Amino acid sequence: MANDLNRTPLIAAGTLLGIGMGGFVDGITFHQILQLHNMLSAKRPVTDLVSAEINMFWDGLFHALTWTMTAIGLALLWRAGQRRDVPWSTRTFIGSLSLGWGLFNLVEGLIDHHLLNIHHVVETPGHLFWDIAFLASGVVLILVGWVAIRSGRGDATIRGERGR
Amino acid sequence: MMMRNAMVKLFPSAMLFGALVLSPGSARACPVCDQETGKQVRAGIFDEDFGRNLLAATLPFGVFLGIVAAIHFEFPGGRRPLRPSRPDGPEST
Repeated sequence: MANDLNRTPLIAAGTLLGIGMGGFVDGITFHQILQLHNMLSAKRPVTDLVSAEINMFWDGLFHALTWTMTAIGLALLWRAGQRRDVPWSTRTFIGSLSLGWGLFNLVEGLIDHHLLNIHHVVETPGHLFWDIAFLASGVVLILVGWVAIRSGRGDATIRGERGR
Repeated sequence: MMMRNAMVKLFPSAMLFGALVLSPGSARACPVCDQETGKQVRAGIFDEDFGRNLLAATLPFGVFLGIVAAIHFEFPGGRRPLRPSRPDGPEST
């Protein structure tokens, strides 16, 4: 198998980095800047300082886990870059990032918004529309990522070989 | 192997950092911890729902790791025996 190309290390690294960066988009944009929801805001609505600080604790745990996903993704990317059987394909990597971001929106949306009901995208009576839109964005990102990964199948350039 | 060595070297620093974060000194730096608000916040975090909330917060990330592991080991079409022969072969790390 010495001559095989293996894209899976790059896809796994990009997917995990996409999950992490998608999580940071959610946490920074929705939890902190727009303050549309917090981790437990459907169970414990943010109505006073105590409830805000309790939600802040759980938001912090969410961000710590998101950081961990990003760190593991970086480690996988570093390892992939050291292998000579992994094609250094931009299309594959960008597609994997999109796949990961989409997986984040889909999985987190299904589990937290619909299954466990611990928060919604917007904590208003009409939250279902925004929750469905969040899931739909996940499906679109997954499809875009899948197409980009497939388009990178022919890439065979190994890291550091471009421009030689 | 290189990564394992790096992790072994970083482990004492990580333990020291963790000990400092969890030390009483960091609690003293908290401006509301000894006040009524801080006590209510701690009671609200570590209430009877703590286990369920912890599971809820961590469950999606377990699913993510499972999906990425599946991609890493089983991704369809990940391997492609098209590369022309190289005299030096792949580098094992």
